[in-house]
Amino acid sequence: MDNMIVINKLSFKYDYRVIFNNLCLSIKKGKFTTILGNNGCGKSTLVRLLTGLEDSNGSISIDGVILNNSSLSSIRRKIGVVFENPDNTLISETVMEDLAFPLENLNCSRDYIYSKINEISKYLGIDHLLNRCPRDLSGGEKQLVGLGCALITGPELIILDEAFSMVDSMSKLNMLKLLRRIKKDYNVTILNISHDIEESIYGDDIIVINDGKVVIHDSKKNVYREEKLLNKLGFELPFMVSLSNKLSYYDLLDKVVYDMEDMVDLLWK
Amino acid sequence: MEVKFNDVSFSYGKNVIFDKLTCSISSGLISAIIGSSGSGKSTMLDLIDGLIPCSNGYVSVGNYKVNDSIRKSIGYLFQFSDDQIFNSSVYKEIEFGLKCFKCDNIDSRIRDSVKLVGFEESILAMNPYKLSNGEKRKVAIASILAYDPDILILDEPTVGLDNISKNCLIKLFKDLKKAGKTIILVSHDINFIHKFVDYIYLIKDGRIYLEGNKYDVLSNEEAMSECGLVVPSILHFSNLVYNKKGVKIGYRDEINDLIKDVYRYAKW
Repeated sequence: MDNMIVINKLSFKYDYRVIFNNLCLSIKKGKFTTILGNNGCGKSTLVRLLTGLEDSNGSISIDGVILNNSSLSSIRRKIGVVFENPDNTLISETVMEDLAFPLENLNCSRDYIYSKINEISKYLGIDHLLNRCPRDLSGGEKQLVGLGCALITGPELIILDEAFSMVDSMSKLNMLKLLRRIKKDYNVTILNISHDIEESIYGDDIIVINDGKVVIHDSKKNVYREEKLLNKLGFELPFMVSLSNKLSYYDLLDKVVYDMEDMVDLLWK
Repeated sequence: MEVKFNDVSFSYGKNVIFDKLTCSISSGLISAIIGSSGSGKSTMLDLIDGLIPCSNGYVSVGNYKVNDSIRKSIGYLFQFSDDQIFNSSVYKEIEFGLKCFKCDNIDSRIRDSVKLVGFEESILAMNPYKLSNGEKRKVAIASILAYDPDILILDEPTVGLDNISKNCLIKLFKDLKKAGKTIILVSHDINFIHKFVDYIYLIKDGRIYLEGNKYDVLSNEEAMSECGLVVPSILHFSNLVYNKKGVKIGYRDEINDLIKDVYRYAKW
């Protein structure tokens, strides 16, 4: 499988504080990858480096193209980003204007813009919000609009930078399920950068970053087997994985069950 | 110091947030106000701290109506750290509140407060704007702990915090409660708050939809769903077992305690 992102010997620091030290990692195309890390490990810095907002030592390539001054513009067209605080990115008086903005920047025709707004807003279930002011929306609604702005340009990669930290639990669940659908329906690589391991349940692969380097990079199934290492890095297993493992210890289960209803049916056959 | 909302009404322009809201938040407890985005949670906190005035009615803290004279008794954590932090070093950031309130032992208070949130003293020289979002959050928390208020009002204290930091906060909140402090917080992080809160106010459309001890509120599937929230996984599991199999395994805070119950009842 091709790689969407390849980072090679990346080093970066703020003043005297080293964030990355020869970081090497690759993200496969078409996968939903969760990057986990604790506070200060460089999660948001990584987003800034991938989108060319910061310079670094080492190399970054997106879809086979090395990120530099001349390729920056074309690479940015391939990427949509959903940031942590939607109030920093939603700038217009209506949701429709915010959705139109990225396409206006690409000099798309009016007809095309309206058809894309129609398509994306219906897909995300936010068509009823088009005439609303983004500032009046709930946190979950704002992030859905933010996701719409990221998706509307037809990116090949969507990056979420702690996008769920200000969103209520129900909205978060809905968005994570939506991202899984987007991956399939729009053939997009999803990169979710977070400190919350529960979000990784909805993804395919997990990368854990610590002390400026990749510590684990594997399928979620294999990463969840490394409970001791995860605990050492300050992560607890997702609830259903932890429950499955502990029940297996008591011979009540013999596998990891992600769905709670399935688990209850298995335990009380 | 009990916090009381006495027939409080408040609007943002034509948008009515509260209409004659009346409730009491007991002192010495850890209370959480939960609800979906836009339900009025943060506005409740702003009214307690006097950041915004009531249109009608009033908020009282102990025997006093909220005003500047009780400001030192209240430590307020803003929802966004960037709204709170404005100094060029962590030291100066924490020092600011202490100087405003004319506290003594400023230097030792600053050093103690950063340790309380899990930092080394080396953080004090750093520019807060160069810290990660989670680190800024902890600096903001330290800055209000430093002047030792009686009431802590925390708007989304765990936003951006990793597990290590959250567990540090749980211990801190429990210690503060033992010391007689009142903690009132707003949080979306239901799976986190259920581990340590005493009392919950579930709000919807500017009114208290349901209040009670944490299990009574957080396990109520209908009420939580009505308010746009999801029951914590560990409580939802117990509900599911009861609803599907008629087996009552009780509500637990920790997985290990839940496992013991499941083992006992599933083996029957």
